[in-house]
Amino acid sequence: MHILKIIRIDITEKIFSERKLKKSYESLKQLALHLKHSEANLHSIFDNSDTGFIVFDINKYVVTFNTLAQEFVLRLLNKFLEPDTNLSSYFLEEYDMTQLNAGFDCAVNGKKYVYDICMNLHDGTEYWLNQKFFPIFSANNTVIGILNEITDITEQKLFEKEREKITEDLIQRNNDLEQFTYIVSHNLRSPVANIKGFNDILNTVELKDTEKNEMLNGINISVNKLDNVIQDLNQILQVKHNVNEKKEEVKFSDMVKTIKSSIQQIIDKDGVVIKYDFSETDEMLTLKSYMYSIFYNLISNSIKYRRPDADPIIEIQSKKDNNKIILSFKDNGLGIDLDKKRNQIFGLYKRFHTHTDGKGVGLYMTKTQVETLGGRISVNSEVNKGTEFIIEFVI
Amino acid sequence: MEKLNFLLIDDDPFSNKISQTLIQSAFGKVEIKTFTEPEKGLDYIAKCDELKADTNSRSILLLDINMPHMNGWELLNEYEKLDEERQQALNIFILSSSVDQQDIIKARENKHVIDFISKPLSKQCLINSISKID
Repeated sequence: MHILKIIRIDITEKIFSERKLKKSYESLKQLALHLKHSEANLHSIFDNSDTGFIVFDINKYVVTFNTLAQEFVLRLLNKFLEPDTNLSSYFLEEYDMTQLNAGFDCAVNGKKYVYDICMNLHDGTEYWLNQKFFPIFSANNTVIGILNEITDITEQKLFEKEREKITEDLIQRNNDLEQFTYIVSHNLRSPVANIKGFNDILNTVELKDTEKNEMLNGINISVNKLDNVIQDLNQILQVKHNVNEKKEEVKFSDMVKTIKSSIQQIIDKDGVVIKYDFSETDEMLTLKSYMYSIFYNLISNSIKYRRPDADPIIEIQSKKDNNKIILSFKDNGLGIDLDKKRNQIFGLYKRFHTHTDGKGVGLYMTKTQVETLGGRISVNSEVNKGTEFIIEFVI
Repeated sequence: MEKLNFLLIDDDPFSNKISQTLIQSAFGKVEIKTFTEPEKGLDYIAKCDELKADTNSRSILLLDINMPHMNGWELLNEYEKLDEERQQALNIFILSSSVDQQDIIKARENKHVIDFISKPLSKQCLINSISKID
């Protein structure tokens, strides 16, 4: 009886604990299922994100990554991402790791690090990435890993560049328009005012015959001047529409030779020396007529504004720098006081020397042509020492 | 009537011819000095003894704006550095072909300038302007 009693008690407890066990087993199963679900959810977020993720341990070994990160690495480094491989194994020895290392160091020390980087694809196209490095903390707040977030920002960067270019273009056009207002205001208006003035005098003031003729002569010359200004304007406006001409390979040395022979008489008379060095680059795909006009204007300017006490020496040189062709035209002439005149030097109808005839159109045209060809022109000058024009073309 | 002296500074000889003819037509034989180079005009203003305050004569400068080397504004900046007596002796008008509103405003705001005259000068305009001198 006694024994039986004991057994009965034991079974009761066993059943209870079995029930308990079953219950906790069920809840564990439920929990595992939950975990599986939530892991699946996380994974689908991880893999379908438009950000690439790579998790590294603190020694820069890959722990895990998502599909997009795999795509980035394959496209940019031509390698497959694999767990347990070191970061450095993905890069060639000559690759500059400064920023990557800085990102890791920062994250290992518990801080976030962000930068944009431009990489070149095999076909030479630019590929922009935004790189972020975050520390991963354990429960007791020590860094146990590094999360690297990679975002493709190429489109955004190209858009920014495009926008900058448009802004620059608009500023340029605005300046052009202001210049035109100025011309209308001054250079068209001044011969008109003279014609009007002479005409008023002829109608209201009693004049001798000689004086009358003087007034008529004034009208005559002013009319011609007005016509010249209108023709200049026409020429300038045409430059801006002529870009459709075909580009061809232009040889700088040939161009200088042609110009030299076309002004041979002046060269002989004024003892002009033209030196040139196109050893670094002698050819460029461009609009021949513009290039000719740019060379011609700068050379003839150097001769026109020579120093009376020195034979003009003109040195022309070409240089190649990455994707740029840089042309330099240097003379030993009168020079221009840039402290006072820098803003006016390429302006229309701006003149700095009055001893020779000149309309103040040449440098304006040169600048317009350089810019139409996608280049930039700048100037260095010192009074009585000489002037140097530098033209940069991106190729 | 008091004596009038005219000073013309303009790089355009035609404009000077028009002004000269009209001044003579309006005031008869008065003294007119003409400079096509602003530097020389400024030099004259700085050195000429007749340009000191004289109750019996008035000196009037017709100054162009748009000139090479030194424009009208630059000349006025230099003028400001001259001694007071000289500055009080000269009555300055801007005579310009400009129709740019900025130039007109700038001229009227300049304390040395009495008024802006738009080219071409006319007899009526000349007489009106002279009457503005106090």
